[in-house]
Amino acid sequence: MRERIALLLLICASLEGYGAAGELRPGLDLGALIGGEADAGFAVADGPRPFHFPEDHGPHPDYRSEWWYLVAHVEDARGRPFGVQFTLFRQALSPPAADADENASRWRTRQVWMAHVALSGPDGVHQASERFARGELGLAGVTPEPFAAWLEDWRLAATRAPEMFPLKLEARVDDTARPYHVELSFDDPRGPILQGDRGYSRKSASEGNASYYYSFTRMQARGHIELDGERYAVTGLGWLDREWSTSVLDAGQTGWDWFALHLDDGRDLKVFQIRRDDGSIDAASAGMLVAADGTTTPLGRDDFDLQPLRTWEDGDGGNWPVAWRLSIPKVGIAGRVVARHDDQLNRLAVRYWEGQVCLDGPVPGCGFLEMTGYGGE
Amino acid sequence: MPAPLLEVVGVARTFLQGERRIRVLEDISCSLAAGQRLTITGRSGSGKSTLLNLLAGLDRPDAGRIRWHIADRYWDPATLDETARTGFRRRHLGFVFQFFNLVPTLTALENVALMAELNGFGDAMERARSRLQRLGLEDRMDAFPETLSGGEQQRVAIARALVHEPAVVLADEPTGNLDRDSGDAVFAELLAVLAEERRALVLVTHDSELAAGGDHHLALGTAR
Amino acid sequence: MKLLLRAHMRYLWQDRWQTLLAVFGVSVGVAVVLAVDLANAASREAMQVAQRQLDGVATHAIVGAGERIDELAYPRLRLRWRQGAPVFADVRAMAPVVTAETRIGLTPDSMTRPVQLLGIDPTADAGMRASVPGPGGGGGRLMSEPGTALLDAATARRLGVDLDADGDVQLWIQAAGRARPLRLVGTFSLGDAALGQGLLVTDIATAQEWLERVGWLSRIDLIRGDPVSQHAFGRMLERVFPGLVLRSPRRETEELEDGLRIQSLAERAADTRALAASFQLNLAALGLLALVVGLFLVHGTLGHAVLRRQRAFARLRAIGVRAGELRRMVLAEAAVIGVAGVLLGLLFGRWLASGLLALTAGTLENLYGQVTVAAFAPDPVPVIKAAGVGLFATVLAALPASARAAAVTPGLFATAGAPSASHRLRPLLLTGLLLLAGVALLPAAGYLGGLVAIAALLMATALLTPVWITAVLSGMTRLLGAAPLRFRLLLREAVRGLTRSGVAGAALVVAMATALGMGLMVDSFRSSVDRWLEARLAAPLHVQLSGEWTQLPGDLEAALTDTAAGHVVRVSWSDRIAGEPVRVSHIRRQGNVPADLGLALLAGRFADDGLAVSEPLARRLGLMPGSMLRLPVADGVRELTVTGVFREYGAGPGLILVPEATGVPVLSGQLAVEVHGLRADADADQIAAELVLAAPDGTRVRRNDELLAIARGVFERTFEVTGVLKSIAGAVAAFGLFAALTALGLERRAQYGILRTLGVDRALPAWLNLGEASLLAISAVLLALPLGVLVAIILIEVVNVRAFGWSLDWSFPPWLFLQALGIGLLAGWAAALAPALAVWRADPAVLLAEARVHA
Repeated sequence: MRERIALLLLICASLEGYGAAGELRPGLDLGALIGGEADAGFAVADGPRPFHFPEDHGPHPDYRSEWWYLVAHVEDARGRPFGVQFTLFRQALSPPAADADENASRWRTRQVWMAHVALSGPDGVHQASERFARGELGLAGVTPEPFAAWLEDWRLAATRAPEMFPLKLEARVDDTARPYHVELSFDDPRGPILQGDRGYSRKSASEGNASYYYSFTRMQARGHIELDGERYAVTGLGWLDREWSTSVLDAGQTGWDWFALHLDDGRDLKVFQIRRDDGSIDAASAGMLVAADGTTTPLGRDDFDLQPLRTWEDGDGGNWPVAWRLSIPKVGIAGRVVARHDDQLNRLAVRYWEGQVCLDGPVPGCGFLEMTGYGGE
Repeated sequence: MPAPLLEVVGVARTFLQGERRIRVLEDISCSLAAGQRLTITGRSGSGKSTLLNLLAGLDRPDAGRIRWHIADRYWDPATLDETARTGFRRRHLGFVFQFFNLVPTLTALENVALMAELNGFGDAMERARSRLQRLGLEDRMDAFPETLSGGEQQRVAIARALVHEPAVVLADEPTGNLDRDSGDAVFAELLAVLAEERRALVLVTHDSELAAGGDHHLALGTAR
Repeated sequence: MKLLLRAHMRYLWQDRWQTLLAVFGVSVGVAVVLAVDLANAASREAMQVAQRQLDGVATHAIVGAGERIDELAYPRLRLRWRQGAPVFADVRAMAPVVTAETRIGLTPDSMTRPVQLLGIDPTADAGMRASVPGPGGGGGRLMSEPGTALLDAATARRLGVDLDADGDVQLWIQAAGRARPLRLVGTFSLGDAALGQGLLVTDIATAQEWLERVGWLSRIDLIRGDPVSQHAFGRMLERVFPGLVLRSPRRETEELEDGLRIQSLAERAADTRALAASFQLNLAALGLLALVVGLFLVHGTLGHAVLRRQRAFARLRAIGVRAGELRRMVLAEAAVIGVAGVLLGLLFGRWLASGLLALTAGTLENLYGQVTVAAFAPDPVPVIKAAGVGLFATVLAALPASARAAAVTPGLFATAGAPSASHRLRPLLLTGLLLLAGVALLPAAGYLGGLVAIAALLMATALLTPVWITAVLSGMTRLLGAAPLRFRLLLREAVRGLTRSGVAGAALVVAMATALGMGLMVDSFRSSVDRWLEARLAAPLHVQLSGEWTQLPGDLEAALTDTAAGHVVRVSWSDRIAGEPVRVSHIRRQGNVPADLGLALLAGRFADDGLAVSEPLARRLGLMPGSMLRLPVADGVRELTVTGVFREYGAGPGLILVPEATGVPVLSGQLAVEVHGLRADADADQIAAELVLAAPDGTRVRRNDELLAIARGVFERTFEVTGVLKSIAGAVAAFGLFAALTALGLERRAQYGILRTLGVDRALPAWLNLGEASLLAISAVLLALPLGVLVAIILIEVVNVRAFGWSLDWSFPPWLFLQALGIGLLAGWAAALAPALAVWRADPAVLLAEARVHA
């Protein structure tokens, strides 16, 4: 899913701000970048593989795309809620080359990194920032042991190496209307949850359209958030997705709705649906329920139903469903999923909605919803 | 009998004003002998100035004939070219205007001498000086016109009109811009000089007293 | 009051020739101000756009000694910035740059097209340069495929490359002395204006590899604060008075670690544009002078109008009109003239600007290579400025007349009479005050003092002109006491007409003095530059190596020894001394070369044990032979004696020559060899060919005599615009004279009518007209010649020295004076021709009729 975001973001970011400058005839070719022959030379996710940790926490540069995707919903002692997002994307611009030139520049790289940091505060103000860097000169990168993922001074890193956990997220954002500083520690006693088939996650019927995918779905979060010069001590839950792949999803998909919920009974639920341009829901839509002990229950396209209840107009022509009816009869989950704040839109090079939601129903819970493709701008 | 100084036969002059034809003069005839006085009267717009222009060769009649007989020669200004007409005026005509019209940047003496110089008289200054003396202006000869009174200015103008000894003086309301007394005095002096030198006068005036004494009288009506 | 206003407006209409003259005066002034502004703005825009391709919207840059930075400083500085280091507090973006001048071509043998190679990091450059694509656009391929680049569309077109048809295109680039393959994967548009040099954008890694500068950056671009609000006042000033604000007196340099410092790009750009600035300064000054000429026409018209109506004003005052009302009425007349003049002027100025722009573009093309100047930006500022200046100045010019109107004593029977003595004295008094002010302002700070002094001088002389012409004519009258009447008449009529023609005469004096002063200055400039060029290019051959070097390649050195009696090697790099940007040239002499290197020395000598500095730098830093100068070197600072100051017009901000014997280490830089004393048995072209063979690829050997011709051509073109503006000022003055003579002709029709009736032939009035014009022109020329010399002296000795730091040798060729004389007479005759012809043609009966009407 997020593979697509990564690509779109990279492409659009590169065009953003240049379009107005007049005619640009770059060698920009979406096909060449994300499909067809360009795949040649990249490693492909073509079947289950054994995972090795901590190595697999680090980058897999032979695959085209990869990300470290962390979201957390936390609150302070008075129950004031905060939503935090930190994402580090890695994108290979070309397949691994043969030998590096002796006299090669240290800037020579085929890896581009992009990071997003977003915070929504208790008063509903949502702020998102993005940065880019090439993966050289220490500007951005990921190391598996001791674990660290960073772009400039935005950083997610192990604090008790060689252990992966606890992880510490540090992000300072000064250049927004309301500067903030996030300092959160995450602990996970349970270990990685392999998504799909032992971590092999098929994305469509066709061979090779798949990724390697594992998550830490329920991390205990604790730390501080500084906003408007005020410092809040917060606790809550976080979710970290790790995914890498080379393949691309089908054309004809217009967007998706991706739910990651921590249920109050200790279970974690992920469901997503991919919307097609003919109005139908793609068969690749799926989900997974993680029990408190880490056992997983896969959910197929027909196991769940999602209906939008209310949309929010973003002022730029986009209409985002911020309230949903969710029902998964098979596992006894049903209810309304409502955004904590309507406006949790990341107005970055690519616009997407990534924000806190809560489920009210027999089994309530809170988590994150990601939506793309609802227009605007 | 010698030919008269001036013969005017059946002269007409019409002006076009837009679409309208204005007949200013129609079938005017008159004559004048040397040393005589022709008085032309009429209301404003009756064509006095037009006739004067025709006589001076500043304009041509539409019909009829104007013939001067001066220095044993006939002159029909209408048949002369511009240079010849100018020469004719310069040599044989003298002018006195209602508003004196002296050259403001020349002194009284220079104004008078100008005509003599134009006619190539080597003793232009001398002639001018004697003219002015005769008119009682010996003290004002180096004054510029703007410092002269109206009567003095008109005397200078008379001196200018006579300094080159023309056959005839054309006077256009010569007293029109003077008060009664000085007007009468100036006019009397003009007549005296003319009589003494046997020069003719064509006088345009609407002053009945001035008009009274001429040899010939032409009253222009409203011939439209 | 309304009826009063109507009466005044009717007067303007009745005296329409004079009114038209005033309107025209204002309109030409406004037009020239506007045209110069528009043309300057458009050319500045062209330069800025070109500059922006390179600097982007960056406001500052981090630079190091020799403009080199260790690349590892970049991540360190970037992190410091992100972590909120105070020195970077207002930095909004930071991007590394590797750049150099290179040449490209379709084959390794045809790498002749000069391009600026710009190596960027697409991930950091977002928003920095409008034309440069980010990582996912062309930037992605630049990063992922070594040896790829994007080229500006104009240069691609000139190379005959069509990417749409051909896909990727193989080109060659001459970099670091070697031909290297280049894959062109895209083009971009530089927008409306383009630097002729062309721009080649590549990834920073490719740039480092091509230039063999792995490990080094050229600079780090910064966007600081809000670029719009920065130095807002200075920017506004610069916008309103283009060319008048050249560089901010404040130098913004902040020291960082390891000899790195933050430098303002605006300042750097300003420093490199001295010639263009001198050019724009000329234009702006001429524009203002044109306005001054126009103002004299307004001043004279209204002054005359008041004088003529003094009797009417006296009656109005007698029946109860207040002095203030008369004053306001006269000002209202001025406003009407001003509005009409401004409207006309804006139209005319717009039209004039296109013509100027074509010429300006030509000049810029010579200075900067091919420059495409776009259509005018719809910018209201120059229009508002020109209109405001025109209106304000018109009313200002009307103040004396309005004061005079208000001072009329009430009286039904008052006579107009001659102006009282105080009115005659007032211009003289004012003249004295202006002259005093001019002299007082001369030592004022900056070249502005010089310009203001020139303006005061011109105005004072203009005020003095009628008095002067009267004096000249009176003198002639006295000399010609016994002349024929027509000469007396001519002289007296000319004096009498001065109430009208005096102003036109003043305008003619100002125009001619300006033209002459400017001409003398330009000629001095040209001959000085010429002499400097001749000295500078004394060596028959000049060898320029491509890329950066620290020493002469051995093969070339051997070839030089074979073919020449001696040579001078210069390795030049950019640096800063005491906050001033400089070029440092390391000089090594070999064999038989002139001891002074062919320098045009102004003071001292060129010696092996010290530095020689260029005149502008010496002036700015207050250096003279014997002064000590601290020179930054790789490992610290060396203090050396200045032994000589030499003339230099080409190096912009400053040039320091460092002889090899001083022991100052050579940084890498552009390497050039001046070749002296060629071998006798071969001609220059043959030796040039031999040197090319021995030199590294990309080396150019050029014959200096050819270069001299080109350089001279550039200067000719540069001042062509000045010539055009000179002609415009002359034309304005001629028109002023024409209008004045026409008005005089109309006034004198009645008088001519009388004269013609009396028997004066048609030639006399015409002769009077032409004679009057000749007298005016001759008097004006007599006054304008010394004034022009004075203007030239101030321009040369004050304005140029203060604005650009260079001195010029005086060159006052006689033909310029003759030319001024000829132009003055021609202008006078041209102006008198039509009125004279009108009188010549006029029917005396019609003229007489007017005499009968006008008392």
